[in-house]
Amino acid sequence: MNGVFSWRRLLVLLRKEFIQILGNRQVLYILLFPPIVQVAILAYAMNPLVKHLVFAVVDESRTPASRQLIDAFTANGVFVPQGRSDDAASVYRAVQSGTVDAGLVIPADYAQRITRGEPGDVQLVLDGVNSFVANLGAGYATLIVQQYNARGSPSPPLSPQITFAYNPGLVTAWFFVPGLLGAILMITGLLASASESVREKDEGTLEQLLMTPASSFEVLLAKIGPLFVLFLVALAASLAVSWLLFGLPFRGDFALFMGISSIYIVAAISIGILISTFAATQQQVVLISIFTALPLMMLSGAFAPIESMPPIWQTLSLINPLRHYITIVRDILLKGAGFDVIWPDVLALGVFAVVAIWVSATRYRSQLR
Amino acid sequence: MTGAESVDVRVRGLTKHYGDVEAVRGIDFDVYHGEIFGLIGPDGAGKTTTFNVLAGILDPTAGDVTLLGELPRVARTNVGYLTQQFSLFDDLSIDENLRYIAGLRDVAAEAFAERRGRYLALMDLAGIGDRLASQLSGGMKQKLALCCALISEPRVLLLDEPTVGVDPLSRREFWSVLARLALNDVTIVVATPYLDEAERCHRVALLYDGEIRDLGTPAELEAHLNCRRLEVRTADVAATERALEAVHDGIVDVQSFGDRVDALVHDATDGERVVRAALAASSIAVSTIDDEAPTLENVFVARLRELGSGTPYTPFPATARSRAKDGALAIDAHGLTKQFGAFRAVDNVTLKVAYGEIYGLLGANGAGKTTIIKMLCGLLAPTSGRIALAGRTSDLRAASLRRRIGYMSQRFTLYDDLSIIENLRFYAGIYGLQSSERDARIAWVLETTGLRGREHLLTARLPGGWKQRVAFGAAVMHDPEILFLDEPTSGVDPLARRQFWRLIDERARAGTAILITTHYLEEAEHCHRLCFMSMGRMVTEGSPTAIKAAQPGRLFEITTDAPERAAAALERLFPAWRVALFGTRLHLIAIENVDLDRAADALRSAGVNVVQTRPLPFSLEDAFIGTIERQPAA
Amino acid sequence: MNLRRVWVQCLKELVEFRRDRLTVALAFALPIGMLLIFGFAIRLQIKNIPVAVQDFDRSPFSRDFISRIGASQELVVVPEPLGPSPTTILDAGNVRAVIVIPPGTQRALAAGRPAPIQSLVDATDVVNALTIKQILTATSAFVGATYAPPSAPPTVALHVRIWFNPGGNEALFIVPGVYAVILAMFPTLLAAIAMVRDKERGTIVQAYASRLRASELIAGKCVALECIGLAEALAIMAIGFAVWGVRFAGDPLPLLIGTPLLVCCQVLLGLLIGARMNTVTSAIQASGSVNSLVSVLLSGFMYPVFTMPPFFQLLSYIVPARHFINITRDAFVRGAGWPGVWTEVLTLAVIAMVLAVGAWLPMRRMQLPDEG
Repeated sequence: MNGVFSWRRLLVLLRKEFIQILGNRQVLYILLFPPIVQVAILAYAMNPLVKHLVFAVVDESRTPASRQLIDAFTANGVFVPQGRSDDAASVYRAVQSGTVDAGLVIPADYAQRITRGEPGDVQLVLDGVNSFVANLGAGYATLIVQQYNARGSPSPPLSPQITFAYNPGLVTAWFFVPGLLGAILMITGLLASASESVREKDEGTLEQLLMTPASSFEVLLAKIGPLFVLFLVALAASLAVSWLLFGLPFRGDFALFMGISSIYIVAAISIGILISTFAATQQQVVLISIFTALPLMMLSGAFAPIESMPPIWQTLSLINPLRHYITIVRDILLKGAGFDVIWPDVLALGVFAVVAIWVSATRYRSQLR
Repeated sequence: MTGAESVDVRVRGLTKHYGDVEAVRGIDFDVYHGEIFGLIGPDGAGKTTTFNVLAGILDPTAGDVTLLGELPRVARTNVGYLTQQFSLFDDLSIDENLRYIAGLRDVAAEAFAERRGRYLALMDLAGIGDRLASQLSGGMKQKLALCCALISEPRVLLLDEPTVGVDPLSRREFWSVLARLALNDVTIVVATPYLDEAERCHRVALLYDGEIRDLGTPAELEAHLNCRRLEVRTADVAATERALEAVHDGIVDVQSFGDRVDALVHDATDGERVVRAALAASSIAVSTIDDEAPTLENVFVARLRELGSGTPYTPFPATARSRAKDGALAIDAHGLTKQFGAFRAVDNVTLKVAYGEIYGLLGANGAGKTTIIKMLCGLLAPTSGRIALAGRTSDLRAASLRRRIGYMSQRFTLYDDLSIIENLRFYAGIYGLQSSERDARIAWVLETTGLRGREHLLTARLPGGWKQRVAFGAAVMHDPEILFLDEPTSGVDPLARRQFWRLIDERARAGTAILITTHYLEEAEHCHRLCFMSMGRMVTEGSPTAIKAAQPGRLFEITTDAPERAAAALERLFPAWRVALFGTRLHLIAIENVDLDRAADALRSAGVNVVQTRPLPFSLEDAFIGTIERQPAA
Repeated sequence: MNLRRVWVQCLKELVEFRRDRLTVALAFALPIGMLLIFGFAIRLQIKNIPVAVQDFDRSPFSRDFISRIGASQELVVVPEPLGPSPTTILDAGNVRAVIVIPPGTQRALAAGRPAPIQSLVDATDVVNALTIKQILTATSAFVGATYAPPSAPPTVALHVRIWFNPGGNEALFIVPGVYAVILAMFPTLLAAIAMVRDKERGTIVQAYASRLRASELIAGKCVALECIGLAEALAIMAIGFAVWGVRFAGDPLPLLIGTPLLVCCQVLLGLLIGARMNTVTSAIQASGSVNSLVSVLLSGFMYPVFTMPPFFQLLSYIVPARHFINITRDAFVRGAGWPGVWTEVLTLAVIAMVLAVGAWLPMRRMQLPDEG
C-alpha cells in the first residue's frame, strides 16, 4: 500500500464518494431528472417544421382567375388565409406588425394580362424576421405557383419519387433526442463535476485528504467514479423514456453505444474538473461552466446544422466532443451503423477524452501541491 | 451588579423540538438588568437553540419568552446578537460591515459616525476600516462582530460562544470590554465553553441535555459542590495522578496540570490524609498540599459526572511498537521562513520535537502557527529553511511517510454527509489498517466518545464538540508516530478535554511525537515543552514551569467595590500588560515591593474600597499574555 | 417598505459583487463572448447539404438538372461512384441523399411519359430531408418543363419579397434572439447564488435579527442585480451594434421599458430559486441547466413557438424570454412599435409581480427554518 497507486485505497475512496452522492437527495434528483425529463419534454416540444403560414390576401383583380389562384395557394393547407383585405397598404401593415406571416397581393390588371398572354405579376411579401421560416415560405409558394402553371399541360410535371430512409415517419423527435442527450449530459456533467470539485476545495476536505497516503491520482479517479455511473444510468433511462414516448429505435450495437457514451461522459466530467482548477468559488465555477457548455451545445449540430455555419466554425466544431458524440448516437440509433462507419468520430472523441483527462489531471494534481 | 433589580430577560418553560429531537425541554431563568449572565454546558445542551429563540429568529415550540417586556420578534431590534460563526461578510471591509448592519437597524448617520469611532477604538480596530473581514485574524473578527452587535446600542446583548478559537490575549480584552459594557447598563447573556470566563459572569446557569441543572453566582455554584480543592505538588505528576485516581473513597475528582495534581475532596483535612496515604503507598514523595476553593470547572466536571456524561477511559488498542527511537528527533525544522508576497508569515523558526515528547505551539491568531504546521506536514512549501520529518529530509509527501503521520486540522476532519462509522471506516481504509486492527480501533473510538450504538448517526447532526472528539479518534486510529494537532479541543467540554489529554499523554509515553496548538492555556500545562509565537517569530521556548518561573514580578488579585474605576486608576499608573480586569476582580503584576503600596494609594485616591488583596501563582495564561504584550508592536 | 433599508441592502450587494473580481469579469466577458460566438456561428438557414447524384442518363437534361441542384445554396453535389447501391452510399454517412437518374429519362420526358427519377433521402434530420424534397421537387418541375413537350406558357409570375431581412442577413435575426437568451440566463444565475449564499454561510442571520423585512431584502437584492443586468444589456447591445450593425428599426421605447422588466423577471426568478434551495449546488443546477435550456429552446430563439404542440405553446407563455424576444425582434428588425408588442410588455410586468410574490413567500418570516 505504499506505492503511488493502490486499488485498495481507490476502493475506499470510491466507496466514500458513492455514499456521499447517494445520500444527498437533492443532488441525486438534480443529476438524474434533467437528463431524463428534459430530453423528453424538449424533444416533444421542439418542432422546426412549419406546417402553416398565416397570410393576408388582397385581391384587387376580383376575377375568377384571381380567385382560382388564391384557391391554389390555400389548397394544401400550408397557407392559411386571414380575412380579406381591401388594399395593399393594409396587407403590408399586417405583415409589418407581425400579425400575419405573409401577404399576397394580386394586382387589378391580373386577369387582363393573363388573357393577353402576358405573365400575371403577383406579389408575395414574407415576414423575414425569421429568415428560416421566410425561406421555407418562399419555397412553398414557388412550388405552388409552378404546379399551378403546369396544370394545363398534357404531361405532368417531372417529380421524383422520394423515399425517406431511417426515419420514414419524419418524427422530429428522433432527430432531437440524440442532440438533447448529448447536450444535457454535457451541461449537467460539467456543472456537477465542476461544482463538486470546487466545493471540496472550499470546505477544506481536500487538505485532509492530502495528508492521507492517498495519491492525487486516486483522489481524482474517485471523484469521477460515481458521477460516471450516475450519468450512464440517466442515459439508459432517457433512451428508455424516448422509446416509450416517441418510438425511438435502437438499431445498433448496445455495447458499442454504452462504450462510446462512457468515453463521452468521462470527457465531460474531465472538462468540469479542469474548470474547477481555474475557479475559487462556486459562483465562478458556474459562470465558466455555462459559458463553456452553451457554445459547445449550440455549435455542435444538436440544434442548428453544422453545414450552415461559416467554414471556420465548421472546422472548429471538429474539436467539439459533443459534435462527434451526436453524430455517433444518431448513426447508431437510427442507422444501425457499426464501428466501420463511425470510427472517425469515435477516434476524434477518444483523442479529445484522453487530452481532457490528461490536462485536467495534471492541473488538478498540481494544485493539490 | 448595579442597583436596579429589574428583569430584562424572562424565560418560562421554554421548549423547542426539532422533529423528534428535543433540544430544549422547558427551562426557566431571569436575567437582571446590567448583569452578565453565563450559559455553560456541553455541546448539544441547547445553548444555541436558546439564543436563537431569545434573538427572535426561531420560534419556540412552547413557553413564554420576553425581552424588555416584549416578544423576542418585536424586541429583536433592541437586542444585539453575536452568533457562533460571527456572521460577518467576508467580502466587505470592516467599515462596510458596520455600515450595512447599522443601516439594517436604522441607525442615523451622525449616531453611526460617533458610535463607530467609539467602538472601534474600544476594541483596538481603529484605523484599519478598509481591511476586508476575510483578512482579519480570529480575534479581530470577534471584535468586529461585537462592534456590529453594539452599533445599534442594544439594551440586551446575546453572545453565543464568542471566544471559541480565539487566543487568550484577545479573550481577555474581549471580556474587559464586556465587563465595561455591563457596568454601562447593557444586559449580557453569554455562552462560553471556557469556565475561567464563566467565573467572570455575575450569575451562571449550567445547561445539560436541554435542562438547567444549576443556577446561581459562581461562588454559589462552587459552594453547592461542598468540596475543597487540594493542590498536590510532587516530583512525578503522572504517577501521582494514577495513584490518586485509584482511590475511590474520599476523592471526588482528580485533575493533573503541568506541575501539580488537583484533588477534589469533600473535607480538606480528611482529604489530605487520604491523599498522603495513597501517595505513600505508591512511594511518591509529597512536596506541598494546598487547600483552595473549587473552580467552576470542578463544578462543571462533577455535575457532568453525576449526570452520567463521563465515559470511562479506554486505553488505545495499539500493536506493540519498538521504542528504539526514544530521544531521536521526530521533527527537526531549522530556519523555517514563509513569505506570502510582502507578508512574512513565519520568520526564521527553529523547532525540534523528539519522539515521546509533547510540544505546544502557542500564539495569537495569525501568529503563524497553522502556517508552521502546514510546512512541517508538507502541505506548504517553505520559502527557506530545512525540515527533517521522521529522519527524512526529502520527499516529505511520500505515501510511506504519510502513513506514519497523523493530522487534525482546525477546520475539518470529518465528512458531514457520511455517518460516523462510515467516516471511521473511510479513514481506517485509507490508512491501510488490516481488518482486525480496524474493527478494534473503530470500536475504541466509539467507546471513548461515548457514541457506541449511535454510530449510524449522520456526522452533520453531531454538535461541534462531539465532532472534534470523533475527528481526533479518526486522526489517531492508524497509530501514527508523529501527530500534528491544530486546536483539537476547540469547543470541547472539560470532561472530554481531559480525556483527550489522557490519551495524548499515553500516546506520548508510547513514543509518539506530538505537536499541538491550543488556546486553552491550562491544557498547555500538559506539554513537555512550549513555545510562544508572535507575528511569525518564536518569542519564548521552554517547559511550562520554566516559562512561568521566568515571568517578571509577582501576581496579586485585588477585589474592590468599584472594579472599573479601580482598573482605570491602576492603568494610569502601570503599563497595560500589568493590569487586567476579570469581572469584578483585578489582577496586578507587581515588579517591585513598593508597587503594591503605590497601587493601594492610587485606589484610595480614586475613592475605591479595597476588599481583599492576595497573591496568586502565575498561570500560563498570565505568562502568555505578559510575554506577548511585551513584544514590540509591528 | 423602508426605502433607506432597501438602499442599504442594495449597496451591500453591489459592494460584495464588486469585490469578487473574477465574477465581475465573468459577468461581462461571458455574455459578450457568447454574443460573439452565437452571432458569428449560428446559422439556421439550411446550406451546403451534401447530396450525391447517380447519373445513368447522361443527357443534357441530367447535366442541366445536376448543375441546377448544385446552383442552389442549400445543396452541394458530391461525386459518388455509380456502382454501390444508394442504401450503401447513404449508410456510409457522407451524403444526405442519393438521387438516381435512370437511363432514358430525357427520352421519356420528351415523349410526355412519366420519368422515374428516384431519390433516397436520409431522414434523420427531418428539416433537412424536407428541404431536400422541396428543392428536388421544384428543380425537377422546372428543369423537366424545359425538356417536356411545350405546354401553355406560365401564367403566373411570382415575385417574392422578404421583408426586414432581404439579404438574408441571419445575424439580424439571431442577434436580437441572443440578447434575450443572454439576459435570461446570467441575471438568474447571479441572483440565485446571491440569495442562497447568505443562507448557506449563515450571514443571513444578520438580516433576520434586524428590522429588515422580507420585502425590503428582496427589493434590495433585486435593485442591485437589476443594475448589473442592465449593465450587461447595455454592453451586449452596444457590441451588437458595433459588430453587426444591429440598430433600432423603429420606436425604441418598448425595448427601453421591456429590458428592465425582463431583467427584473429573471432576477426575481433567481431570487426565488435561491430562497427555496438550501445549498449553492442545487441552486446552481436549477438556475444553470434548467433555466438555460428552457430559455434557449422554448423561447422561440431557434424554432418558432407556433410550431410547438399546444401544451408547450401555453407553457412558453410563462417563459419571460419568449416575450422579450418578440420585443427585441420588433425593436431591431420589424420596427412596428407599441401596437405589436404592448401585450408582451404587459405580460412581462405580470410575470414579474408573480415572481416577486413567489420569492417573498418563503422569506416572509425572516426567521430560521424550524428544522434546525
